[in-house]
Amino acid sequence: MASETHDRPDTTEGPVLEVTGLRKVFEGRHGAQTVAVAGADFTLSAGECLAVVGESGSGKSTLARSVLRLIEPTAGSVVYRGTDLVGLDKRALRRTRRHLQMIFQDPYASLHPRQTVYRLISEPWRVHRDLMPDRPRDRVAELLDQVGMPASAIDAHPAQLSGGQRQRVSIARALGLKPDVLVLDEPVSALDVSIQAQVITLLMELQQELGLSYLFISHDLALVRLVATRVAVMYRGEFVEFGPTSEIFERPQAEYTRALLSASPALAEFGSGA
Amino acid sequence: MAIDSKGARAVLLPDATVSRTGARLTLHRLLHSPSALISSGWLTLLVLVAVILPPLVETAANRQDLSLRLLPPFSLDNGPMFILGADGLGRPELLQLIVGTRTSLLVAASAVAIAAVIGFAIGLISGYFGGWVDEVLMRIADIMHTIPSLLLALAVLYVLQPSIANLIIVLAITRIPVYLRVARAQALELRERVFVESSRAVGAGDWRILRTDLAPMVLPTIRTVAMLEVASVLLAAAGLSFLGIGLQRPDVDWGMMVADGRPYLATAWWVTVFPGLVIVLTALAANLLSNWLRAAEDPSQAARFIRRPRMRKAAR
Repeated sequence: MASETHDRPDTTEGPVLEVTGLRKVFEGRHGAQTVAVAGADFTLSAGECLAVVGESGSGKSTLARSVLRLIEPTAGSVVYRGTDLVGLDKRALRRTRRHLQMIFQDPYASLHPRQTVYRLISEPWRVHRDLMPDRPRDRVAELLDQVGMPASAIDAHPAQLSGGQRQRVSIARALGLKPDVLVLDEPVSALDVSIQAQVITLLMELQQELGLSYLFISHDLALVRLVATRVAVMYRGEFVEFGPTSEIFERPQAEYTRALLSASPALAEFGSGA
Repeated sequence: MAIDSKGARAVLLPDATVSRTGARLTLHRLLHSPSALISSGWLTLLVLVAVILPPLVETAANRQDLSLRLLPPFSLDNGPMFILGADGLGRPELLQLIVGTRTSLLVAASAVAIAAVIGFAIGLISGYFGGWVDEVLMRIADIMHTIPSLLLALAVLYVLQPSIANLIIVLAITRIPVYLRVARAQALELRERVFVESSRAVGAGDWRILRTDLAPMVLPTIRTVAMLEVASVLLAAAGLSFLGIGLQRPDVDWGMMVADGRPYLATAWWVTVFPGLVIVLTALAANLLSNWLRAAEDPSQAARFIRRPRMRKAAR
Protein backbone atom coordinates (compact mmCIF):
# COMPACT_ATOMS: atom_id res chain seq x y z
CA MET A 1 0.00 0.00 0.00
CA ALA A 2 2.87 2.30 0.75
CA SER A 3 4.30 1.94 -2.73
CA GLU A 4 0.92 2.76 -4.20
CA THR A 5 0.99 6.16 -2.56
CA HIS A 6 4.50 6.86 -3.73
CA ASP A 7 3.76 6.00 -7.35
CA ARG A 8 1.12 8.71 -7.54
CA PRO A 9 2.40 11.63 -9.62
CA ASP A 10 3.66 14.46 -7.51
CA THR A 11 2.19 17.21 -9.63
CA THR A 12 -0.70 17.38 -12.02
CA GLU A 13 -1.28 21.05 -12.67
CA GLY A 14 1.06 23.11 -10.54
CA PRO A 15 0.81 23.84 -6.85
CA VAL A 16 -2.55 24.31 -5.14
CA LEU A 17 -0.92 25.97 -2.21
CA GLU A 18 2.30 27.97 -2.02
CA VAL A 19 3.59 28.90 1.39
CA THR A 20 6.51 31.34 1.53
CA GLY A 21 8.41 32.58 4.55
CA LEU A 22 5.61 31.77 6.94
CA ARG A 23 6.58 32.88 10.40
CA LYS A 24 4.80 32.99 13.72
CA VAL A 25 6.22 34.64 16.79
CA PHE A 26 4.28 34.63 20.04
CA GLU A 27 4.74 37.70 22.20
CA GLY A 28 4.94 36.79 25.85
CA ARG A 29 4.84 39.07 28.85
CA HIS A 30 7.71 41.51 29.36
CA GLY A 31 8.64 41.39 25.68
CA ALA A 32 9.60 37.73 25.75
CA GLN A 33 9.31 36.18 22.29
CA THR A 34 8.76 32.60 21.28
CA VAL A 35 9.47 31.74 17.68
CA ALA A 36 6.99 28.93 16.98
CA VAL A 37 7.47 28.85 13.22
CA ALA A 38 10.66 30.40 11.85
CA GLY A 39 9.92 30.87 8.19
CA ALA A 40 8.42 27.86 6.46
CA ASP A 41 8.50 27.47 2.67
CA PHE A 42 6.69 24.72 0.82
CA THR A 43 4.26 24.03 -1.97
CA LEU A 44 1.43 21.58 -2.07
CA SER A 45 0.37 20.02 -5.37
CA ALA A 46 -3.02 18.63 -6.25
CA GLY A 47 -3.50 15.14 -4.88
CA GLU A 48 -0.33 15.28 -2.85
CA CYS A 49 0.12 14.42 0.79
CA LEU A 50 2.80 16.49 2.45
CA ALA A 51 3.62 15.40 5.96
CA VAL A 52 5.11 17.63 8.61
CA VAL A 53 6.74 15.65 11.38
CA GLY A 54 8.49 16.63 14.55
CA GLU A 55 8.39 16.25 18.29
CA SER A 56 5.75 18.01 20.36
CA GLY A 57 6.47 21.70 20.67
CA SER A 58 8.29 21.83 17.35
CA GLY A 59 5.68 24.18 15.88
CA LYS A 60 3.77 21.73 13.70
CA SER A 61 0.33 22.69 14.95
CA THR A 62 1.14 26.38 14.88
CA LEU A 63 2.21 25.95 11.26
CA ALA A 64 -1.07 24.21 10.44
CA ARG A 65 -3.12 26.94 12.07
CA SER A 66 -1.08 29.74 10.52
CA VAL A 67 -1.59 28.29 7.05
CA LEU A 68 -5.36 28.60 7.59
CA ARG A 69 -4.95 31.92 9.40
CA LEU A 70 -6.70 30.44 12.40
CA ILE A 71 -3.87 32.19 14.14
CA GLU A 72 -2.52 35.28 12.47
CA PRO A 73 0.97 34.63 11.02
CA THR A 74 3.61 37.21 11.88
CA ALA A 75 5.06 37.24 8.38
CA GLY A 76 4.96 35.34 5.10
CA SER A 77 2.36 34.46 2.51
CA VAL A 78 -0.04 31.59 1.93
CA VAL A 79 -1.12 31.59 -1.69
CA TYR A 80 -4.04 29.40 -2.63
CA ARG A 81 -4.51 29.20 -6.41
CA GLY A 82 -3.23 32.73 -6.85
CA THR A 83 -4.90 34.31 -3.81
CA ASP A 84 -2.79 35.24 -0.82
CA LEU A 85 -4.76 34.42 2.33
CA VAL A 86 -2.57 36.72 4.39
CA GLY A 87 -3.95 40.22 4.13
CA LEU A 88 -7.44 39.27 2.98
CA ASP A 89 -10.29 40.95 4.84
CA LYS A 90 -12.70 38.81 6.85
CA ARG A 91 -15.23 38.38 4.10
CA ALA A 92 -12.72 37.47 1.39
CA LEU A 93 -10.86 35.19 3.76
CA ARG A 94 -14.07 33.32 4.54
CA ARG A 95 -14.76 32.87 0.84
CA THR A 96 -11.30 31.63 -0.04
CA ARG A 97 -10.71 29.57 3.05
CA ARG A 98 -13.64 27.31 2.44
CA HIS A 99 -11.42 25.48 -0.06
CA LEU A 100 -8.97 24.74 2.73
CA GLN A 101 -10.44 22.81 5.61
CA MET A 102 -9.01 21.49 8.80
CA ILE A 103 -9.44 18.24 10.71
CA PHE A 104 -8.55 18.62 14.36
CA GLN A 105 -6.67 16.22 16.55
CA ASP A 106 -9.21 15.54 19.25
CA PRO A 107 -12.68 14.71 17.92
CA TYR A 108 -13.95 14.79 21.51
CA ALA A 109 -13.21 18.52 21.63
CA SER A 110 -13.76 19.66 18.06
CA LEU A 111 -17.46 18.80 17.74
CA HIS A 112 -19.96 20.98 19.55
CA PRO A 113 -21.41 18.75 22.28
CA ARG A 114 -24.94 20.10 22.00
CA GLN A 115 -25.36 19.83 18.24
CA THR A 116 -26.61 16.79 16.41
CA VAL A 117 -24.62 15.20 13.62
CA TYR A 118 -27.02 16.77 11.13
CA ARG A 119 -26.49 20.20 12.61
CA LEU A 120 -22.72 19.74 12.77
CA ILE A 121 -22.42 18.79 9.14
CA SER A 122 -24.93 21.30 7.82
CA GLU A 123 -23.65 24.23 9.89
CA PRO A 124 -20.95 25.24 7.35
CA TRP A 125 -23.65 25.67 4.70
CA ARG A 126 -25.40 28.21 6.91
CA VAL A 127 -22.24 30.29 6.62
CA HIS A 128 -21.67 29.67 2.91
CA ARG A 129 -25.28 29.97 1.82
CA ASP A 130 -24.52 29.36 -1.85
CA LEU A 131 -23.42 25.84 -0.94
CA MET A 132 -26.64 24.97 0.88
CA PRO A 133 -28.06 21.93 -0.94
CA ASP A 134 -31.72 21.81 -1.91
CA ARG A 135 -32.24 18.89 0.44
CA PRO A 136 -29.65 19.31 3.16
CA ARG A 137 -30.73 16.19 5.04
CA ASP A 138 -30.22 14.00 2.01
CA ARG A 139 -26.86 15.58 1.36
CA VAL A 140 -25.79 15.00 4.98
CA ALA A 141 -26.83 11.35 4.70
CA GLU A 142 -24.76 11.14 1.51
CA LEU A 143 -21.72 12.62 3.22
CA LEU A 144 -22.15 10.25 6.15
CA ASP A 145 -22.19 7.37 3.71
CA GLN A 146 -19.06 8.71 2.06
CA VAL A 147 -17.20 8.59 5.37
CA GLY A 148 -18.55 5.16 6.25
CA MET A 149 -21.16 6.19 8.78
CA PRO A 150 -24.69 4.77 8.95
CA ALA A 151 -27.47 7.19 8.02
CA SER A 152 -29.09 6.46 11.38
CA ALA A 153 -26.37 8.50 13.06
CA ILE A 154 -27.79 11.70 11.61
CA ASP A 155 -29.69 12.68 14.75
CA ALA A 156 -27.11 11.47 17.25
CA HIS A 157 -25.15 13.78 19.52
CA PRO A 158 -21.35 13.47 19.63
CA ALA A 159 -21.59 11.93 23.12
CA GLN A 160 -23.31 8.95 21.53
CA LEU A 161 -20.48 8.33 19.08
CA SER A 162 -17.10 6.70 19.44
CA GLY A 163 -13.90 8.59 18.76
CA GLY A 164 -13.53 7.10 15.30
CA GLN A 165 -17.10 7.94 14.42
CA ARG A 166 -16.64 11.48 15.66
CA GLN A 167 -13.58 11.92 13.48
CA ARG A 168 -15.61 10.63 10.52
CA VAL A 169 -18.23 13.27 11.27
CA SER A 170 -15.49 15.94 11.33
CA ILE A 171 -14.31 14.73 7.96
CA ALA A 172 -17.84 14.78 6.55
CA ARG A 173 -18.29 18.31 7.90
CA ALA A 174 -15.15 19.46 6.10
CA LEU A 175 -16.05 17.62 2.88
CA GLY A 176 -19.42 19.40 2.81
CA LEU A 177 -17.59 22.55 1.73
CA LYS A 178 -15.95 20.74 -1.21
CA PRO A 179 -12.39 21.68 -0.25
CA ASP A 180 -9.22 21.00 -2.28
CA VAL A 181 -6.89 21.07 0.67
CA LEU A 182 -7.32 19.37 4.01
CA VAL A 183 -5.03 20.32 6.83
CA LEU A 184 -4.95 17.29 9.09
CA ASP A 185 -3.60 18.11 12.52
CA GLU A 186 -2.71 14.73 14.05
CA PRO A 187 -6.05 13.40 12.79
CA VAL A 188 -5.79 9.97 14.37
CA SER A 189 -3.47 10.36 17.34
CA ALA A 190 -6.39 10.68 19.76
CA LEU A 191 -7.93 7.42 18.53
CA ASP A 192 -7.43 3.78 19.45
CA VAL A 193 -4.81 2.08 17.34
CA SER A 194 -7.34 -0.23 15.65
CA ILE A 195 -9.51 2.76 14.77
CA GLN A 196 -6.52 4.75 13.53
CA ALA A 197 -6.02 2.34 10.66
CA GLN A 198 -9.66 2.62 9.61
CA VAL A 199 -9.67 6.39 9.62
CA ILE A 200 -6.35 6.60 7.78
CA THR A 201 -7.62 4.20 5.14
CA LEU A 202 -10.72 6.34 4.78
CA LEU A 203 -8.60 9.47 4.39
CA MET A 204 -6.47 7.83 1.72
CA GLU A 205 -9.53 6.61 -0.19
CA LEU A 206 -11.08 10.05 -0.07
CA GLN A 207 -7.87 11.59 -1.31
CA GLN A 208 -7.91 9.35 -4.35
CA GLU A 209 -11.61 9.74 -5.04
CA LEU A 210 -11.70 13.51 -4.67
CA GLY A 211 -8.15 14.45 -5.60
CA LEU A 212 -7.60 16.22 -2.30
CA SER A 213 -4.26 17.62 -1.17
CA TYR A 214 -3.28 16.89 2.39
CA LEU A 215 -1.07 18.81 4.74
CA PHE A 216 -0.60 16.04 7.24
CA ILE A 217 0.73 17.02 10.66
CA SER A 218 1.92 14.06 12.67
CA HIS A 219 4.50 12.73 15.07
CA ASP A 220 3.81 9.12 14.08
CA LEU A 221 6.60 8.26 11.64
CA ALA A 222 5.25 4.84 10.70
CA LEU A 223 2.02 6.50 9.68
CA VAL A 224 3.78 9.23 7.75
CA ARG A 225 5.81 6.70 5.81
CA LEU A 226 2.56 5.07 4.80
CA VAL A 227 0.60 8.10 3.64
CA ALA A 228 2.99 10.89 2.67
CA THR A 229 4.41 11.74 -0.73
CA ARG A 230 6.85 14.21 0.77
CA VAL A 231 7.98 14.85 4.30
CA ALA A 232 9.13 17.97 6.09
CA VAL A 233 10.95 17.42 9.35
CA MET A 234 10.40 20.24 11.77
CA TYR A 235 12.56 21.08 14.75
CA ARG A 236 12.20 24.19 16.88
CA GLY A 237 10.10 25.95 14.29
CA GLU A 238 12.36 25.20 11.35
CA PHE A 239 12.36 22.65 8.55
CA VAL A 240 15.59 20.77 9.11
CA GLU A 241 14.92 18.36 6.29
CA PHE A 242 12.47 18.28 3.41
CA GLY A 243 12.14 15.74 0.63
CA PRO A 244 10.36 12.71 -0.87
CA THR A 245 9.23 10.20 1.75
CA SER A 246 11.51 7.35 0.66
CA GLU A 247 14.49 9.70 0.64
CA ILE A 248 13.88 10.92 4.17
CA PHE A 249 13.33 7.47 5.57
CA GLU A 250 16.13 5.69 3.77
CA ARG A 251 18.83 8.38 3.63
CA PRO A 252 18.13 10.88 6.39
CA GLN A 253 20.61 13.76 6.22
CA ALA A 254 19.94 15.87 9.25
CA GLU A 255 21.08 14.77 12.67
CA TYR A 256 17.65 15.44 14.11
CA THR A 257 15.91 13.28 11.50
CA ARG A 258 18.16 10.36 12.35
CA ALA A 259 17.47 10.82 16.04
CA LEU A 260 13.75 10.97 15.34
CA LEU A 261 13.84 7.81 13.20
CA SER A 262 15.81 5.80 15.70
CA ALA A 263 13.47 6.90 18.47
CA SER A 264 10.52 5.30 16.69
CA PRO A 265 10.28 1.61 17.69
CA ALA A 266 8.08 0.60 14.77
CA LEU A 267 10.53 2.07 12.27
CA ALA A 268 13.60 0.61 13.85
CA GLU A 269 12.12 -2.75 12.92
CA PHE A 270 11.15 -1.53 9.46
CA GLY A 271 14.69 -0.38 8.89
CA SER A 272 16.35 -3.67 9.73
CA GLY A 273 13.95 -5.54 7.41
CA ALA A 274 14.48 -3.29 4.39
CA MET B 1 -3.51 -2.89 6.57
CA ALA B 2 -6.39 -4.88 5.19
CA ILE B 3 -8.90 -3.03 7.25
CA ASP B 4 -11.95 -1.76 5.45
CA SER B 5 -12.37 1.97 5.83
CA LYS B 6 -16.10 1.47 6.03
CA GLY B 7 -15.63 -0.70 9.06
CA ALA B 8 -17.70 1.59 11.19
CA ARG B 9 -20.76 0.78 9.15
CA ALA B 10 -20.78 -2.75 10.47
CA VAL B 11 -21.94 -1.61 13.88
CA LEU B 12 -25.20 0.26 13.60
CA LEU B 13 -26.26 2.67 16.26
CA PRO B 14 -29.21 1.47 18.25
CA ASP B 15 -32.23 3.62 17.44
CA ALA B 16 -33.53 3.72 21.00
CA THR B 17 -30.80 6.03 22.19
CA VAL B 18 -32.19 9.10 20.52
CA SER B 19 -35.63 8.64 22.04
CA ARG B 20 -35.88 10.59 25.28
CA THR B 21 -34.43 14.06 25.09
CA GLY B 22 -34.83 17.58 26.41
CA ALA B 23 -37.99 18.46 28.27
CA ARG B 24 -39.29 14.91 28.45
CA LEU B 25 -36.07 13.72 30.02
CA THR B 26 -36.20 16.48 32.61
CA LEU B 27 -39.81 15.64 33.43
CA HIS B 28 -38.91 12.00 33.79
CA ARG B 29 -36.17 12.82 36.27
CA LEU B 30 -38.37 15.24 38.16
CA LEU B 31 -40.85 12.48 38.97
CA HIS B 32 -38.07 10.65 40.79
CA SER B 33 -37.05 13.49 43.09
CA PRO B 34 -39.50 14.23 45.95
CA SER B 35 -38.11 17.58 47.06
CA ALA B 36 -37.90 18.93 43.52
CA LEU B 37 -41.37 17.60 42.77
CA ILE B 38 -42.91 19.25 45.86
CA SER B 39 -41.03 22.49 45.14
CA SER B 40 -42.20 22.67 41.57
CA GLY B 41 -45.72 21.75 42.72
CA TRP B 42 -45.75 24.66 45.18
CA LEU B 43 -44.41 27.11 42.61
CA THR B 44 -46.89 25.91 40.00
CA LEU B 45 -49.72 26.36 42.50
CA LEU B 46 -48.57 29.92 43.24
CA VAL B 47 -48.38 30.77 39.55
CA LEU B 48 -51.88 29.38 38.96
CA VAL B 49 -53.25 31.32 41.95
CA ALA B 50 -51.52 34.49 40.77
CA VAL B 51 -52.91 34.18 37.26
CA ILE B 52 -56.45 33.05 37.96
CA LEU B 53 -57.69 34.36 41.29
CA PRO B 54 -56.74 38.04 41.82
CA PRO B 55 -59.29 39.57 39.39
CA LEU B 56 -62.05 37.64 41.14
CA VAL B 57 -61.14 38.61 44.70
CA GLU B 58 -59.50 42.00 44.34
CA THR B 59 -62.50 44.05 45.48
CA ALA B 60 -63.19 41.81 48.44
CA ALA B 61 -59.52 41.78 49.36
CA ASN B 62 -59.38 45.55 49.79
CA ARG B 63 -62.72 45.95 51.58
CA GLN B 64 -62.02 47.26 55.07
CA ASP B 65 -64.32 46.25 57.91
CA LEU B 66 -63.20 47.65 61.23
CA SER B 67 -65.55 45.37 63.11
CA LEU B 68 -63.44 42.43 61.94
CA ARG B 69 -60.15 44.12 62.85
CA LEU B 70 -57.40 41.60 63.75
CA LEU B 71 -59.85 38.72 63.53
CA PRO B 72 -58.05 35.50 64.58
CA PRO B 73 -57.53 32.78 61.97
CA PHE B 74 -58.92 29.24 61.63
CA SER B 75 -62.57 30.19 62.09
CA LEU B 76 -65.28 30.02 59.42
CA ASP B 77 -67.76 32.23 61.29
CA ASN B 78 -67.27 35.11 58.88
CA GLY B 79 -67.00 32.99 55.74
CA PRO B 80 -64.10 31.08 54.16
CA MET B 81 -62.25 34.18 53.06
CA PHE B 82 -61.47 34.93 56.72
CA ILE B 83 -59.98 31.48 57.37
CA LEU B 84 -56.55 33.08 57.85
CA GLY B 85 -57.96 35.94 59.92
CA ALA B 86 -58.00 39.66 59.14
CA ASP B 87 -55.41 42.42 59.30
CA GLY B 88 -55.33 45.69 61.24
CA LEU B 89 -57.95 47.28 58.99
CA GLY B 90 -60.19 44.23 58.89
CA ARG B 91 -59.15 43.10 55.41
CA PRO B 92 -59.30 39.32 54.83
CA GLU B 93 -55.76 37.95 55.15
CA LEU B 94 -56.26 35.11 52.66
CA LEU B 95 -57.48 37.36 49.86
CA GLN B 96 -54.73 39.87 50.55
CA LEU B 97 -52.22 37.04 50.20
CA ILE B 98 -53.76 35.97 46.91
CA VAL B 99 -53.55 39.45 45.44
CA GLY B 100 -50.07 39.86 46.92
CA THR B 101 -48.95 36.64 45.25
CA ARG B 102 -49.57 38.15 41.85
CA THR B 103 -47.57 41.27 42.63
CA SER B 104 -44.69 39.45 44.29
CA LEU B 105 -44.34 36.89 41.52
CA LEU B 106 -44.72 39.50 38.81
CA VAL B 107 -42.01 41.66 40.33
CA ALA B 108 -39.64 38.78 41.00
CA ALA B 109 -40.13 37.05 37.65
CA SER B 110 -39.88 40.24 35.58
CA ALA B 111 -36.83 41.52 37.43
CA VAL B 112 -35.09 38.17 37.10
CA ALA B 113 -35.99 37.84 33.42
CA ILE B 114 -34.79 41.34 32.54
CA ALA B 115 -31.57 40.99 34.52
CA ALA B 116 -30.88 37.51 33.11
CA VAL B 117 -31.35 38.52 29.47
CA ILE B 118 -29.23 41.66 29.77
CA GLY B 119 -26.53 40.08 31.93
CA PHE B 120 -26.37 37.01 29.69
CA ALA B 121 -25.94 39.05 26.52
CA ILE B 122 -23.40 41.51 27.93
CA GLY B 123 -21.46 38.78 29.74
CA LEU B 124 -21.15 36.65 26.59
CA ILE B 125 -19.98 39.56 24.50
CA SER B 126 -17.61 40.77 27.19
CA GLY B 127 -16.03 37.37 27.73
CA TYR B 128 -15.82 36.46 24.07
CA PHE B 129 -14.34 39.67 22.69
CA GLY B 130 -12.26 40.60 25.72
CA GLY B 131 -10.10 43.69 25.37
CA TRP B 132 -11.13 47.15 26.53
CA VAL B 133 -14.85 46.46 26.15
CA ASP B 134 -14.46 43.69 28.69
CA GLU B 135 -12.37 45.89 30.99
CA VAL B 136 -14.93 48.69 31.02
CA LEU B 137 -17.91 46.40 31.49
CA MET B 138 -16.28 44.48 34.31
CA ARG B 139 -15.26 47.65 36.14
CA ILE B 140 -18.87 48.84 35.94
CA ALA B 141 -19.97 45.47 37.28
CA ASP B 142 -17.43 45.77 40.10
CA ILE B 143 -18.76 49.17 41.05
CA MET B 144 -22.32 47.90 41.00
CA HIS B 145 -21.28 45.06 43.25
CA THR B 146 -19.71 47.31 45.83
CA ILE B 147 -22.84 49.44 46.18
CA PRO B 148 -25.28 47.58 48.43
CA SER B 149 -28.23 46.82 46.18
CA LEU B 150 -30.70 47.68 48.89
CA LEU B 151 -29.13 51.11 49.29
CA LEU B 152 -29.16 51.72 45.54
CA ALA B 153 -32.78 50.64 45.37
CA LEU B 154 -33.62 52.94 48.27
CA ALA B 155 -31.99 55.90 46.59
CA VAL B 156 -33.52 55.29 43.18
CA LEU B 157 -37.01 54.56 44.46
CA TYR B 158 -36.83 57.63 46.69
CA VAL B 159 -36.08 59.84 43.70
CA LEU B 160 -38.43 58.09 41.28
CA GLN B 161 -42.03 57.29 42.10
CA PRO B 162 -42.40 53.98 43.93
CA SER B 163 -44.34 51.83 41.48
CA ILE B 164 -44.32 48.26 40.30
CA ALA B 165 -42.48 49.18 37.11
CA ASN B 166 -39.80 51.16 38.92
CA LEU B 167 -39.39 48.42 41.50
CA ILE B 168 -38.83 45.88 38.73
CA ILE B 169 -36.29 48.08 36.97
CA VAL B 170 -34.33 48.78 40.13
CA LEU B 171 -34.25 45.14 41.16
CA ALA B 172 -33.26 44.09 37.64
CA ILE B 173 -30.40 46.57 37.41
CA THR B 174 -28.94 45.57 40.74
CA ARG B 175 -28.96 41.87 39.78
CA ILE B 176 -27.42 42.17 36.31
CA PRO B 177 -23.81 41.67 37.52
CA VAL B 178 -24.65 38.20 38.80
CA TYR B 179 -25.50 36.92 35.32
CA LEU B 180 -22.85 39.03 33.69
CA ARG B 181 -20.11 37.38 35.71
CA VAL B 182 -21.39 33.86 35.18
CA ALA B 183 -21.83 34.32 31.43
CA ARG B 184 -18.48 36.06 31.05
CA ALA B 185 -16.57 33.42 32.96
CA GLN B 186 -18.04 30.69 30.79
CA ALA B 187 -17.50 32.61 27.56
CA LEU B 188 -13.87 33.18 28.52
CA GLU B 189 -13.36 29.46 28.86
CA LEU B 190 -15.52 28.40 25.91
CA ARG B 191 -13.93 30.72 23.35
CA GLU B 192 -10.68 28.74 23.65
CA ARG B 193 -12.39 25.43 22.96
CA VAL B 194 -11.56 23.54 19.79
CA PHE B 195 -15.14 23.51 18.52
CA VAL B 196 -15.00 27.30 18.36
CA GLU B 197 -11.82 27.06 16.30
CA SER B 198 -13.56 24.48 14.16
CA SER B 199 -16.45 26.88 13.55
CA ARG B 200 -14.00 29.57 12.59
CA ALA B 201 -12.31 27.18 10.18
CA VAL B 202 -15.57 26.57 8.32
CA GLY B 203 -16.03 30.33 8.09
CA ALA B 204 -18.30 31.27 10.99
CA GLY B 205 -18.02 34.88 12.13
CA ASP B 206 -17.94 36.13 15.71
CA TRP B 207 -21.67 36.69 16.03
CA ARG B 208 -22.49 33.27 14.64
CA ILE B 209 -20.05 31.68 17.06
CA LEU B 210 -21.60 33.60 19.94
CA ARG B 211 -25.07 32.53 18.90
CA THR B 212 -24.59 28.91 17.92
CA ASP B 213 -21.52 27.81 19.87
CA LEU B 214 -21.43 29.78 23.09
CA ALA B 215 -25.01 30.73 23.90
CA PRO B 216 -26.40 27.15 24.02
CA MET B 217 -23.58 26.14 26.36
CA VAL B 218 -24.08 29.03 28.77
CA LEU B 219 -27.87 29.10 28.76
CA PRO B 220 -28.43 26.16 31.17
CA THR B 221 -26.21 27.82 33.77
CA ILE B 222 -28.01 31.12 33.37
CA ARG B 223 -31.32 29.33 33.77
CA THR B 224 -30.16 27.72 36.99
CA VAL B 225 -28.81 30.97 38.35
CA ALA B 226 -32.05 32.72 37.42
CA MET B 227 -34.04 30.14 39.34
CA LEU B 228 -31.85 30.74 42.36
CA GLU B 229 -32.21 34.47 41.88
CA VAL B 230 -36.00 34.29 41.99
CA ALA B 231 -35.65 33.56 45.69
CA SER B 232 -33.29 36.41 46.48
CA VAL B 233 -35.15 38.92 44.33
CA LEU B 234 -38.36 37.88 46.04
CA LEU B 235 -36.72 38.57 49.38
CA ALA B 236 -35.23 41.85 48.18
CA ALA B 237 -38.62 43.00 46.91
CA ALA B 238 -40.20 41.99 50.17
CA GLY B 239 -37.50 43.90 52.02
CA LEU B 240 -38.09 47.07 50.01
CA SER B 241 -41.83 46.83 50.54
CA PHE B 242 -41.24 46.20 54.21
CA LEU B 243 -39.23 49.42 54.34
CA GLY B 244 -42.16 51.19 52.74
CA ILE B 245 -40.48 52.27 49.51
CA GLY B 246 -41.37 49.25 47.37
CA LEU B 247 -45.03 49.54 46.67
CA GLN B 248 -47.84 51.81 47.75
CA ARG B 249 -51.41 50.87 48.49
CA PRO B 250 -53.65 49.75 46.87
CA ASP B 251 -50.92 47.54 45.41
CA VAL B 252 -49.98 44.87 47.85
CA ASP B 253 -47.29 42.22 48.03
CA TRP B 254 -46.05 39.81 50.64
CA GLY B 255 -43.36 42.11 51.98
CA MET B 256 -45.85 44.89 52.53
CA MET B 257 -48.16 42.51 54.40
CA VAL B 258 -45.34 41.55 56.74
CA ALA B 259 -44.66 45.24 57.31
CA ASP B 260 -48.34 45.96 57.98
CA GLY B 261 -48.47 43.26 60.62
CA ARG B 262 -45.37 44.34 62.48
CA PRO B 263 -47.13 46.70 64.99
CA TYR B 264 -49.44 43.87 66.02
CA LEU B 265 -46.79 41.20 66.27
CA ALA B 266 -47.32 40.70 70.01
CA THR B 267 -51.10 40.54 69.83
CA ALA B 268 -51.96 39.27 66.35
CA TRP B 269 -49.17 37.04 65.05
CA TRP B 270 -51.10 35.82 62.01
CA VAL B 271 -50.97 39.14 60.20
CA THR B 272 -47.18 38.77 59.96
CA VAL B 273 -46.65 35.04 60.07
CA PHE B 274 -48.78 33.97 57.09
CA PRO B 275 -47.15 36.23 54.50
CA GLY B 276 -43.78 35.57 56.10
CA LEU B 277 -44.37 31.85 55.83
CA VAL B 278 -45.33 32.15 52.17
CA ILE B 279 -42.13 34.09 51.47
CA VAL B 280 -39.99 31.51 53.23
CA LEU B 281 -41.68 28.56 51.51
CA THR B 282 -41.42 30.13 48.09
CA ALA B 283 -37.78 31.10 48.48
CA LEU B 284 -37.03 27.61 49.76
CA ALA B 285 -38.87 25.96 46.88
CA ALA B 286 -37.04 28.08 44.33
CA ASN B 287 -33.71 27.22 45.94
CA LEU B 288 -34.38 23.50 46.08
CA LEU B 289 -35.61 23.42 42.52
CA SER B 290 -32.64 25.33 41.16
CA ASN B 291 -30.23 23.10 43.01
CA TRP B 292 -31.92 20.08 41.57
CA LEU B 293 -31.97 21.60 38.08
CA ARG B 294 -28.26 22.28 38.23
CA ALA B 295 -27.48 18.71 39.19
CA ALA B 296 -29.95 17.25 36.71
CA GLU B 297 -28.54 19.19 33.79
CA ASP B 298 -24.91 18.52 34.59
CA PRO B 299 -23.89 15.55 32.43
CA SER B 300 -21.29 14.49 34.99
CA GLN B 301 -23.98 14.16 37.63
CA ALA B 302 -26.63 12.80 35.32
CA ALA B 303 -25.85 9.25 36.39
CA ARG B 304 -27.55 10.06 39.66
CA PHE B 305 -30.80 10.49 37.84
CA ILE B 306 -30.88 8.10 34.95
CA ARG B 307 -28.87 5.53 33.08
CA ARG B 308 -26.71 7.02 30.36
CA PRO B 309 -27.24 6.07 26.73
CA ARG B 310 -25.35 2.93 25.92
CA MET B 311 -24.51 3.76 22.33
CA ARG B 312 -20.95 4.75 22.92
CA LYS B 313 -19.92 1.32 24.06
CA ALA B 314 -21.75 -0.54 21.34
CA ALA B 315 -20.75 1.53 18.35
CA ARG B 316 -17.17 1.40 17.39
